[in-house]
Amino acid sequence: MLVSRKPGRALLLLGALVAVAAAMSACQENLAGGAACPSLCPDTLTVKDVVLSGADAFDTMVNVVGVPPLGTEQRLLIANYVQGGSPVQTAAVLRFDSLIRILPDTDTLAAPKPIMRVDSAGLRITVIAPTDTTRDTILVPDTVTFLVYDVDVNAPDLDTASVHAQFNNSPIASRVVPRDSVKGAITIPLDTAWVGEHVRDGKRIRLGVRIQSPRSAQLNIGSADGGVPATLEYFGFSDTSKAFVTRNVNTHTPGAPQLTSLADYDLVLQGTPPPDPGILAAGGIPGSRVFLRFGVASALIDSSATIVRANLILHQLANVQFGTADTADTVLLQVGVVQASPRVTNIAAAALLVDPPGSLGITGVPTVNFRPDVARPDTIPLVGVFSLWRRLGPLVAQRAIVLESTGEGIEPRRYLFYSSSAPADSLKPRIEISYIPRSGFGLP
Amino acid sequence: MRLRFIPSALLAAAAAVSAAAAPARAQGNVSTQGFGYPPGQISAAAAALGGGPAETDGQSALNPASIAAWIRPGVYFEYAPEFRSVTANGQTDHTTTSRFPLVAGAITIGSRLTAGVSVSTLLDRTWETTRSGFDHFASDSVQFTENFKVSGAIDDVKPGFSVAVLRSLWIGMAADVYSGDNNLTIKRTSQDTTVQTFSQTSRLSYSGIGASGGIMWQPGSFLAIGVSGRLGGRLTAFRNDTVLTRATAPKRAGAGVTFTGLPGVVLAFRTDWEGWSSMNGLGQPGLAVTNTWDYGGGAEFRGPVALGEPVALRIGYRRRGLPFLVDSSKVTETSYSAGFGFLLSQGRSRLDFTLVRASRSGLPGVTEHAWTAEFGVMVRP
Repeated sequence: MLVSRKPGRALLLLGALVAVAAAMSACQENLAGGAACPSLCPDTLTVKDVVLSGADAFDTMVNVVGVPPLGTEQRLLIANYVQGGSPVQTAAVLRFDSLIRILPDTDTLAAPKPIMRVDSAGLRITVIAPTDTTRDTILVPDTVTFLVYDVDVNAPDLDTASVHAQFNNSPIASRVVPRDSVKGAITIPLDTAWVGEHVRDGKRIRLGVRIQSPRSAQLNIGSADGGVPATLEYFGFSDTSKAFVTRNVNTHTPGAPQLTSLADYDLVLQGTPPPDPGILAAGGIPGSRVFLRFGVASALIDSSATIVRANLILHQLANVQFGTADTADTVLLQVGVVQASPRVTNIAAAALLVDPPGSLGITGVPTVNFRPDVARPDTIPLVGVFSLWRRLGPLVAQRAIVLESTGEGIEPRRYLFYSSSAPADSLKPRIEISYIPRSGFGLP
Repeated sequence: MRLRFIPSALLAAAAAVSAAAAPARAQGNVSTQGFGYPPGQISAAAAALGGGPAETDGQSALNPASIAAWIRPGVYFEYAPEFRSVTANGQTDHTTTSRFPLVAGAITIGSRLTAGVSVSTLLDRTWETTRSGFDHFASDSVQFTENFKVSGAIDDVKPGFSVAVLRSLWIGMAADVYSGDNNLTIKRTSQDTTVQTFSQTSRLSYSGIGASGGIMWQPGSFLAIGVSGRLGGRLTAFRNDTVLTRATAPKRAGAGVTFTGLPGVVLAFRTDWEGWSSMNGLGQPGLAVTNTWDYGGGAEFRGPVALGEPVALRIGYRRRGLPFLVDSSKVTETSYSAGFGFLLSQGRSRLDFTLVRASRSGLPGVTEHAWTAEFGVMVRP
C-alpha cells in the first residue's frame, strides 16, 4: 500500500495527543460514587442501641460534698449577702498555732530572750482582686467591716461545728474599710494585751474573719495554699531588745496528725443546705459534686464493638433556691473525667482527681448551660469519654465522671438531679449507648 | 491491575480478629460487583480488535501456546485507566480508576521452546461509594455520611511455556497462581457532635492455583487458530490468618482465529467461556455468580507510515457477560474499540494505544458507560 509519510506523522501525532491526554487525566484516581445508592451500595453497618439504668449502668452514684476540701482553697471566700431571699455567709479561719515568742539577743553569743510584751499587734490579710472583672458576683458595693473572732476550741482538727459556734461570740477585733480601700493588704489591729498573753503563755491563736456591710458583699483573701497567706504581726519586746515580727498561718495540733493545709480554711456559716435524700447535687456553697462511676459491661466498652454515641440522661429538678433573674445563667454544668485509678477507693479523693475532657483530648463533651431552676431531662454526650476508657482499658482509670458546677464553692445556686432512687423509672438516670458491632465485612 | 505478590503465608501472619461476617455485595456501580471487574487478561492490541486475536497473541495471558508468538525475548507492560460514568436516580457519578492489568515477558530457549510469565488482573475490586442516611437511635435520628472504599484485586500469575511440536503447531502449558488482596475501609461521620466517627478497616487476601493449556495451529500462512482452557484449583479467601471461604478457581475455554489473507488487513475473532460460578462459595451465601460468554472480533489495517514503520489501525467489537449479578440480573458489557500501534527501534519495540467504549447494562434504571484507555508497551532488546 502506497502511503505518504505526512499523513502517517499527523496520525501518529494525533494519536499521541489523545493518548497523552488520556494518560494525564487518569493521573488522579477518583473512585467516589454514590449516585446508584442505595440500590447498588453496600449496607454493612448496623447500629445497635442499648439503654442502661440502675446497676446495669452505674456502679456508684453519690454526692461528694465539700469541694474543694477543707484547707485546700486557693483563696478564701468571705461573703455576707442575700441571694434570692436566702442568706450566704462564709468566713475564713486562720490558725497561728506557732507564734514567735523569743527574740535574738544583740549579743549573738547570748541565748535568745523571751518576749515579755507586744505592741502594735495586727492580722494582715490580702484581698485578691477578681480575675474576671466582669463577674458581678464578686462585689464590694459599700463599706466593709472586717470582724475578727477568737475561734480556738479544744476540738479535733476537722470539727468545724465547734469552730462555727465561736462566731456567735463577740468579735475580738474589727476594722471598717471604705469600699475603695478593700483591696491589697489590709491589717486589722488586734488587742495587744490579748496577743501578748498568748505569746508569753505559749498559747496558740486561731482567728475567724467575716465581714459585715450595709449591702451584700463578698471578697476573696489569699490563702496559704494559694501562696498568699495571712500573717500575724506585732512588735515584740524582750528585756533588752525589740523587733517587729510576722508569722504566717500555721497549724499543728498536739497529738493529732499533721494537717498543714488546715492552717487556713473557709467555713460556711450560712450556705446551701444539704440536698434531700436521693437527690444528686452539683454546685453550691459549700461545693458539691456528683460522682458517677459507670458499671457498663466491659463486654460493651472493651469489645471490638465501637460505641458511636453514649448519652447520659439525667432528670433535673427545678431548683429556685438562691435564684434571681440576674443570676439565671451564672452557672454552667460541666463534666470532669475521673483520673483516679481503680485502687483509689475513697470516693471523695477520686472525685478530686479529675481532668476536664478537653485536656484529655476528648471533644464533644460540652459545658452546658442548663438553667438550675428548670425541671427537665438533661442530655450529656459522653461518647468521647467512653472512647477514652476503651483506649485506656479497665485498669488505668476508674470509669467515672463528676458533674460539677462552674460556680462550685463560690455560687450558691446548684443543679439537682434525681438519682436511681427516683420515684419513677423515667426519672432515673440512664445511659443510652449506640454501638456498631465489628463486622467481618469484606466478602461480597 | 492491582498486582499483589504477597504469599499467602505472609498474609496469614497477622493476628486474628473474631468477627461476625457481614456482606458487602454492591458497590455503587454495575461492573465491579462481587469480587470485581474482569479486565480480560488481554493485551491492548488484542483489545482494540475486540479481543479477537487474544488466543494467538503473545502478550495476552490466555493461551500458553501463544507465548511462542513472542518470537524473541521481550517484556510487555500495560496501563489502562477507566473513566466510568454511572447514572441512576437522575444523578451521574464520574469516576476514574487506574489499572495496570497486564505485565508479561518471555524468553526463547532454543528454536522450539519459549518460556514466559505474565501477571494479569483476574478481578479488579476497586471502588468507592459515599452516601448519606439516618441513624435511628433510641430517642432521635441523626444524619450520617458513609464512605465505603475498596481497593485491590485477585491477580493471575502465570508462568508457562510453549513448544513447537510441529512447524505449524505449538502446545503450551502454564500454571495459574492466584494471589491478591482487597483493602476495605468503612467510615461513617456525622455533623452531630454527640455521634463519634466510626471507621473500620478490613483486609481480605486470596490464594489459589489453577492450570492452563492450549494449542496454536497455523494451518497456512494466512491463518492462525488458538484454542486454550484453564482448570481451576482451590481458591481461598483469608482474613489475616483465618480462612474465610474456599471455592474453585474459574475454569475457562476459548478459541480464536486470526486471518491475514487480505493485503494489509488482519481479521480476528474469538469466543470464550468462563466458569465463574465455581467461585460461588468464595463469597457470602447469596452471592450470585454466573458463567459468562465472551464474543469479540475486529480488524487491523495497515495505515500510513510514521517513524519508518507503518501504523497499525485497529477497530473491534466485543460483547460479554460479567460474572457477578446485580439484584439477580445478569450484567452484559458491550464495547466498541479503536486504536493504533506502531513499531519502534527497527521493530524491537511496539507501542499500542486502544480506546474502548463500553456500555454495561443489567439493573433497570441504572446505566453505566466507560471509556478505557489502554496503553501497551512491548520492548524486545
